[in-house]
Amino acid sequence: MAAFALGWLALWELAARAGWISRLFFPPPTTILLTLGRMLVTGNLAPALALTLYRLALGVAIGAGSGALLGWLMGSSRSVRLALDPIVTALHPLPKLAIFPIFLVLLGIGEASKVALVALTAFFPMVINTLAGVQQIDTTHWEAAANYGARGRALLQRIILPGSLPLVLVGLRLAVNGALMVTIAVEMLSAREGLGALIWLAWQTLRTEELYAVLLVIGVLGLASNSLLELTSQRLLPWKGET
Amino acid sequence: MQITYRIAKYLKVVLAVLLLAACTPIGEPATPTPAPVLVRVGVLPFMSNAILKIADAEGFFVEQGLTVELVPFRSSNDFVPLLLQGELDVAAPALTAGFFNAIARGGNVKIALPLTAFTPQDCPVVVVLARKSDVEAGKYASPAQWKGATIGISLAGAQGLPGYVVDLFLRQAGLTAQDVTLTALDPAVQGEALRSQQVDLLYAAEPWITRLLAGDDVVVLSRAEDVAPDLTSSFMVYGPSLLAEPEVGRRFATAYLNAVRQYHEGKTPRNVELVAEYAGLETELVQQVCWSDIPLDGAVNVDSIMLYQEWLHDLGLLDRLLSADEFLATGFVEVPE
Repeated sequence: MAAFALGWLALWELAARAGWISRLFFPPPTTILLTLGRMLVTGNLAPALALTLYRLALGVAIGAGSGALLGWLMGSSRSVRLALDPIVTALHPLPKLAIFPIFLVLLGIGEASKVALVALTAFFPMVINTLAGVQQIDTTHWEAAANYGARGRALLQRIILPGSLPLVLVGLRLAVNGALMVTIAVEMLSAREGLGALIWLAWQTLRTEELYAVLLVIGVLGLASNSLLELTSQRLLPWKGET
Repeated sequence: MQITYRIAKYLKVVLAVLLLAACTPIGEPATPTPAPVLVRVGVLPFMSNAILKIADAEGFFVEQGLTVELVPFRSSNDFVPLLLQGELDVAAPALTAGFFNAIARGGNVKIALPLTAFTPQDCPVVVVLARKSDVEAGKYASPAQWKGATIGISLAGAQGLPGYVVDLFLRQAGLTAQDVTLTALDPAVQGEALRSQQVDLLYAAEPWITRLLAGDDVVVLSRAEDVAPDLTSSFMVYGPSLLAEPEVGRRFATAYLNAVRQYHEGKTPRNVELVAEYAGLETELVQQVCWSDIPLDGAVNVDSIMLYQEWLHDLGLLDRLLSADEFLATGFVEVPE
């Protein structure tokens, strides 16, 4: 795989240098790497990355946190599930970016509207996976808990949380990936800072080497967040083994 | 002897044919009808771009032997790449740093015709708006009082022509961009942002100006034409295909300028109908809004572009400054001296 990737990059480099492809739109990978280095040292990449991470972290914390809580609630209570499931099902497929102008009007043009959209994106995969996680807990566990008189907090701690955790973590992974995409998209739509804003500016100025450099950073960001979640899964679910 | 006779006989036949041809009455020189040339034009749903609809609907393109396909886009952001790739032949991209950088890096696109210009006229097309209550309270009695204000501007505009115009406003008062906060706004929410005090001032263009002024709680503070008179603010840009075929480029320019002449007849029922249909606006609104000026003579104000280019360069957005020859195509329009 690594050999294939390196070969592909070498071919790209050769094609760009030889003029077989447009260097304006497909600058050589070495140029992209040099640009990335320059942006890291002298440019505004670090503050942009920090701001994007802040929006992502805050949005995921709010969205995934509330999604998990609602998922557990819906999983534990049939009446809550019956009441809210149609609403969740109806709202989940709505294109989040299409709602952004409404958020702007409701929450203003500052950070709140951007973070709210990221949170909304993180919310749905979390609530659906958490609910599924509770629903797939084996009935014998419920029966055992009932026989031992487990209720409320004990039921949550002993049965619901550990039983649903594998799917909760899958939901968190989906939530982070979706939230990252929406964070970048929102920044492209309305922000003057952040990685998405850098992508927008790079395209506006047709400095495509900067565009690819930022895309590379986003790719690494996605890889890092997924690796972190994988590591968390291994720590919290040692019995599941490596997924 | 035999051979000489045969040659003489052959020459007589040739001579006869030539004489016959010479005596044949000559009518109009046969001009083969050129096959219609397909020209793909990238267009935006802006009122100014309706000039192309006029040219199309009134048959000005057909008169020039052109089959024009108007390809609709939501944003001009991709026009320059699509022109360079040959997907479009003509478009009206926003004159961003990307346009100049594309040329600096070898891209073959050039400004061929003016679209809109900040010509001083009775009504403004691009303005800075403020809340009426603030103006009545004397908050912006002088431009220096803009200091510290939050100005709403389109996202694409901050590092483009709108940002430049705002900078010109600020310069009048001895201010710089560091003295204000520019906030990127979607046009759909800009009025709400101004009214709810999320921004103090708003850079706006028609038809949004008319819509916002209808509320009677917003007023025009400054007009773009006052700080950048006669600036050519948008352009028709030719891609490599039309630059390589000057004759087609000239025919397109002729059709375009015919449409401009009709456009200059003003808000006639026909023009209003075409503009409204093209931009998807109500007829009443199209009648109310201020129409941009489109220069009749097809002349581009090169000096204004050079100044704008220098501003982009000072912001560090340009690879280098271009000479006018590099970004302006000549010869498509006969511009009077």
